[in-house]
Amino acid sequence: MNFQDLILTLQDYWADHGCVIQQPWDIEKGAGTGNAATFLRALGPEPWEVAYVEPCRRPDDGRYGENPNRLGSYFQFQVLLKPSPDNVLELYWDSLRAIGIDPLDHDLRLVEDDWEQPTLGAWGLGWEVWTDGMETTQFTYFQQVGGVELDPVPAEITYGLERIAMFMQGVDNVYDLQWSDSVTYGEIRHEEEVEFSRFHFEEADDDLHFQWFRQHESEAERLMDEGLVQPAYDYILKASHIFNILDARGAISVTERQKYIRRIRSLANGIADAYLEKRRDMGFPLMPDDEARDYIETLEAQEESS
Amino acid sequence: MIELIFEIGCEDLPARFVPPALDQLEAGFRSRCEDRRVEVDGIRTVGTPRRLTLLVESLAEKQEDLSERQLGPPAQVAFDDGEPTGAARGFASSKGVEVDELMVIEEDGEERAAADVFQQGASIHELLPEMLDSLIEDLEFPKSMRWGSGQERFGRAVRWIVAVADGQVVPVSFAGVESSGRTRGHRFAAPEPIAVETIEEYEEGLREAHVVVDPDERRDEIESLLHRMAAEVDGRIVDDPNLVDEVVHLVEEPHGTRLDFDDSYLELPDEVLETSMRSHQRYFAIEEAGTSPDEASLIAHCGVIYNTPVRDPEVVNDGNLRVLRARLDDARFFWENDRETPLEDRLERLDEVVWLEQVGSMAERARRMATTAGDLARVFEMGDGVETHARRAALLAKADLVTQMVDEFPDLQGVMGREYALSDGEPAPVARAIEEQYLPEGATDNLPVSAEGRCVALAEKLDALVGCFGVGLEPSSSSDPYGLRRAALGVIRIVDDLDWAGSVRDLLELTHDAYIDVQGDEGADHTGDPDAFEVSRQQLVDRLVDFIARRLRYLLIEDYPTDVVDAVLAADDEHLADVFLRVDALSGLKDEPDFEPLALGFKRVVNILEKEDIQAGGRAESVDPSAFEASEERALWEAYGSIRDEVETAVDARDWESACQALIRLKGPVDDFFDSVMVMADDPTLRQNRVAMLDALRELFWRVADISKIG
Repeated sequence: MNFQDLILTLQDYWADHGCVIQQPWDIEKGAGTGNAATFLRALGPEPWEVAYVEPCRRPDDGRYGENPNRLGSYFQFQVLLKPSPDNVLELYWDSLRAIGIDPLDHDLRLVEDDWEQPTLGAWGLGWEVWTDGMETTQFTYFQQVGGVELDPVPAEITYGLERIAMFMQGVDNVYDLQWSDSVTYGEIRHEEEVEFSRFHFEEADDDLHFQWFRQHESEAERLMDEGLVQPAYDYILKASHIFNILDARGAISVTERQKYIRRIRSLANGIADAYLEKRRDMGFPLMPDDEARDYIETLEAQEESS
Repeated sequence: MIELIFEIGCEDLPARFVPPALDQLEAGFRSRCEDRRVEVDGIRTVGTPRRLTLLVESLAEKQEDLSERQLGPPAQVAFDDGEPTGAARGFASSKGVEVDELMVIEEDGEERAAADVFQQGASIHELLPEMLDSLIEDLEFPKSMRWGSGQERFGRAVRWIVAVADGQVVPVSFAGVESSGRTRGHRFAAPEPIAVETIEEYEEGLREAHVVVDPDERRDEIESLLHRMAAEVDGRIVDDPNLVDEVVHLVEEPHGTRLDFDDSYLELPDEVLETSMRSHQRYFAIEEAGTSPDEASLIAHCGVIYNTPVRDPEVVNDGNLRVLRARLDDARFFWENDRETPLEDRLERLDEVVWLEQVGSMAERARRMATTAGDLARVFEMGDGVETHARRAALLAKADLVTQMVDEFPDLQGVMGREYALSDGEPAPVARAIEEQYLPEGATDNLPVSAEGRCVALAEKLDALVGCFGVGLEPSSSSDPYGLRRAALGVIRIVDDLDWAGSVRDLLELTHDAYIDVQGDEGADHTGDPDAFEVSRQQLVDRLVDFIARRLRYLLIEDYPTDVVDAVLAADDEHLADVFLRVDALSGLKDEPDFEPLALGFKRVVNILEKEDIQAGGRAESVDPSAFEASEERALWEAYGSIRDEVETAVDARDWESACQALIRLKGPVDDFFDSVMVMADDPTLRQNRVAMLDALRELFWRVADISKIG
């Protein structure tokens, strides 16, 4: 199965299950969790099931296209199911069957791996999924996002597309993957890896990036004050990516690093509260009307009593 | 008696959660039975990552009846002229008896109303639902989570519950899951439900469904699989009990396959191979058989334990081998790349690595450690060769932190330093000392053995203690992020192992000096202390002596009586190696018949002196033997004189046992003295002379211990 068929098959599978198939969000981010379809939609009482491919940028992992397994940019297939269904693992195993990984042919295992994203004030418990010893998926029950306890709890399934494709195609070098039947992953992405590694490690201007960080940060704060939740969130993502570039360059000391993480987290926590407030004003539109009404009444009663 | 099967089926629990949860299950059920007067025998637990199971072979069908006399209000309140009052009626009804069944009895000299209460024991089927519901709710995990729309917390999501007593389903529910009489087999190999009525059916049924539910059985199977895999290639599994413990709880039914990798990877140090296999993959390294485990080298094979009875094990083998090759390629890439830059050339990059923000970089730490390690070698009189090598090793000790290998596998710090030093052509003792710097890691961990290694390991720890305490980063009761307690313990153990007679204060002071030497005048303020430090050298050293003494106390009270330890530390807590010897000698003395009276006598000495201090009555400058009146005080003074000489000689020779033996001979003269001499005489000259003698006695005892703290 080539790389694009893998994506198409997973999309079909999760669309059949009833997921909304969304698209990547057009701002650089380190993981599919950063897409508002996960980060914001995970919050609050509204049910939500979504799947999408997300390009992820990890400047620190760039290797000039020379390492067969490490990439400064790659793709995740992201699924979020809220609330997590009782048969969520069965759904996941069936998705593997759909792409041709038969659990009686391979050793599939769930190995403890708790997930935490300190810049987003988010954490959860779950596993990395091993397929014959190779880590191919991250599976997490989100407990908190943006510093907010989640209720109901969503399950996040993050497929490492390149890993899975390498496993299925039996190749040892990511650049040898067949993207389509006629074009390889390397032909499409190799030069990008080389150039971005050079940019991140050699050419990026630290002063400029520090300046951008401050600007994005204050713009995010200003927009939040204006009640523009989604534009503000974009600027948080931008600030976060700038931080990742500076971090990859070693421009931030260990102690400074903690301070930057705190600054981004405090923005993320702010936006989570603002988003929840906004959804409430809108009457939690993804919930059935009567449930939304009951829910808001309960919230009001709680607020009055406290 | 009936059987009970209670299984909590979950999504895969982390391996480390399972054994403690099983312990709680057993203890929790046992205590519930006791509380409810339910006789029980043959409780055991079994489990896998997907199930926590309580098996009870013999449970009473009925709670024991309760028959006891219970006390009520005082008789005068309960009865008015023999007629029951409201208080009596209330008491009777609360105990379920008629008012005319109440009686009056005498209890602790008081007349009280009382009732003979009889409670029929309930059927076990009535009791079990509540017992098992609360048993689940009370389970605790190192981390717990919520899932779906529920509010309940558990180690992972609970998906089924089996609760069967005497073949009948016990209604239990948790997080919306209702109990049934059907368990589940292996997730992929036997997904159909399995009906369960007896323990035998449960264990057999699961066995057929590819689940070895007993962890001990799984361990045996894993060990024999590993043994077989290793034997086939004339090898032996590298002993790693922690890894076995973990893997036991990573599978429901163990299967094994051996990976045979290319010989060329064996050029990597064994520790690198082992860590690559273990830390990411939970593979078992295999070493050559026929040599002792200390000397055996790895061979190009490893063992994999997996969970599913797959159609073709070769497929699993191929997949795992590819993963292993990628891991080893990474490791080889680091190994080759790292060796292109000598450790010495890495010091520059080490300058960019912050150790403590207030104090400076890791490179500065290494330079200070070099000064300190060399000074230590001199203090310990280890010779010029050791001094030179210790300095060199300490200077290079931290350079492996900026290698790619240690960045990837932090556990390999020190080991990689050793390997890279050898590859740079550094002398063998330098390489060895670099590795030994982190020893000992705990209270029972190995100590550094080479002279250079001891100096570097001490310097590493002393430098951290002085630096952190200098800028106020002292550990709190709950948190010790810089590992200072462990560092202090390391200092204590190494000094004891060296059997060095000096004071730890001297070691701390020379470490403090290195801070100034390395930073130069610019780094020091006008008092000569490092700029960054918040406290003076004197305060800093005092605090650290105290901190180390507290760790020493914790270490010693594990093996010796607390009062003996406190008595020794009260007299001197700085000469660490001698503290061990003194505690040992004094503990031996404690059982001798004369010891307790001597301790009592000494306590009187101390009390008198303390009172005297408070009253500031003063004492003579020195003892004047001609001023003695009583023969007992003269006798004590003479005994003191000869015993003092013996004690001094023994102390000089660090022969603490003889010192103790000499001191105990003071028992007689001290007893006689207190029997017949009044210290607090009215005549000030007489009194002050006696007090001065007691003071001299106290000083003498304090050479060994403050034995007033014993008993």
